[in-house]
Amino acid sequence: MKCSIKLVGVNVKLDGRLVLRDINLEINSSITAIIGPNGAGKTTLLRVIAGIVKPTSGYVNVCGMKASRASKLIAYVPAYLQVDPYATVEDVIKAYTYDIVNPVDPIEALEYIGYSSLAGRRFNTLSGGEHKLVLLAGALARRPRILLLDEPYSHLDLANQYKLSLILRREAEKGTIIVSTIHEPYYANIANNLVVMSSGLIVAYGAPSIVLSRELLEKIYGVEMIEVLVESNNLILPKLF
Amino acid sequence: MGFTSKILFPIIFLLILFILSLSIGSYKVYNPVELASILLGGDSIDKAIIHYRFWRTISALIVGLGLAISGLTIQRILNNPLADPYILGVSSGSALAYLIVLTLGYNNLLLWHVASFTGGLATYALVVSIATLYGLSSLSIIVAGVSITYLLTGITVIIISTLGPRVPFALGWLFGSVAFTPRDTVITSTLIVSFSLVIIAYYRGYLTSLLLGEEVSEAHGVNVRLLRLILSALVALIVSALVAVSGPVGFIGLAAPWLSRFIVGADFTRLLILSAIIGSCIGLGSDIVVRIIGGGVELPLTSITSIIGAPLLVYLSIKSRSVGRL
Repeated sequence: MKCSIKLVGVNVKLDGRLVLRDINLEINSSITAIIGPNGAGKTTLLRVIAGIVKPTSGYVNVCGMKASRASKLIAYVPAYLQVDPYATVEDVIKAYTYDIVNPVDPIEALEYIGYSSLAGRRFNTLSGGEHKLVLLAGALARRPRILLLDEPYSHLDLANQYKLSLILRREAEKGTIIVSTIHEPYYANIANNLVVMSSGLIVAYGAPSIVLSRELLEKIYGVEMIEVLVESNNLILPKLF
Repeated sequence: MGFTSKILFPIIFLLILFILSLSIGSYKVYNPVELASILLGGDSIDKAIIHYRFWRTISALIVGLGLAISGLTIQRILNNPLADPYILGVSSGSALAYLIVLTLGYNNLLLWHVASFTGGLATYALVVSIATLYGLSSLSIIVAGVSITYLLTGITVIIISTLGPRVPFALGWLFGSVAFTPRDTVITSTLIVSFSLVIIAYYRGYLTSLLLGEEVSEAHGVNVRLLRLILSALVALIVSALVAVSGPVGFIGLAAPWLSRFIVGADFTRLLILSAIIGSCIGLGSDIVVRIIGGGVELPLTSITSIIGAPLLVYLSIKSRSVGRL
């Protein structure tokens, strides 16, 4: 069955503030990145798709179902997670697959992302980057149709950022729909589609090569940008000095 | 080491404590051979002693088991490693309501349980509400719980002071004792705790997922609010049943799940099994100790469980702070 995520006229009000405004979006491509400044509504959009936050108005449809009914198809990786101090890496991965029939063994899940060395460790003693990798291993152990990632690149060193990109590409090629918030516009290039948000609105949507422009990023982030051509890739970076 | 071998020693220890609990008492201490011969047909006095000790043993065991599984459950649903029914005031609320109905002269087991359950649940709701007022955190809920516990214990002591000649007995009950629990109460409470254990085991999948916190669990299909509601009520039900058996007993709900974590990590199903066994061991062990060190005077159970639990709470608070949990 072809899966897609559809949001129609979605508004979300939290603590009296409208954090998502009239979101209309259809996601059926393999990797979709959501970028935008802090407070733009990226994580809320991800949470709405995950069924964690209910829209104040409008509706969300995931693979032909209400988001809350599609939970077995979804795996969610939060930006940050603290667990029971005695939880092992295996406990965390097992918690990800609590409702999955014939779940992937935690050790195999770690091997799948190339980090079997983390087996047996206490989760809270790992670095921020290692946390991210274990959560990703848990999420993939659900064998999800839809993988939702909140800031997956934060806390990862360069080697792991590269590795994560390869893993996401591999999963996308297998047919998983990946939606991820991203802080670094550079990594938006791994996506097939880009959602640019500002003040709860989608201000641009489309292929990164078309959507990403210096003018757009300067407008939404409010800082001066420069364009750098690196091996035929056009990078847009903040002008620091 | 596999899970089976990890629980083997606690199970053997529990069996030894069970036999010791039947053998040891202020009136007479039996060696294993004497105990076996009495069980196979001793004289009536010895049989009566063993009969009394058997029901006392069951009481101590069910108190330990019930508090351990309710402590574990409340820690997981609140995502708070320091939560415990005694610290959160559930036991005190339950005990106060139980005492009020008893003092008013209602002599009805069902009414006692309903009052005790309502008191425990209402106190729990009050503590969570107060803690929410100043930002629900591991520490705020403990401060709110301890404050309400003191308040309710103060009221309870005032009511007890009006009981005349029953004051010493009631004070003993207030700090936990299984010395004189009626058999009907033990049977009813055992059934309630067993029923609750089955329900908690039924929800073990959701409770496993809650290790990842509210947000991830919601995304993976757990109705966290409903689960918290059901299991909070169940914890209040367990505690109210145990208050009828022993009065409020402190710290087993904190100590047993934590000792279990040291051994098996944070997998809920494993923790549930091991906490139940270790909680039973602490309940039984504490009751044996109060019989031995009292020198003929029955000490309250909380005097022993506090000696284990209070330092543990301090240690856990420091440890939790060091990993940013408070």
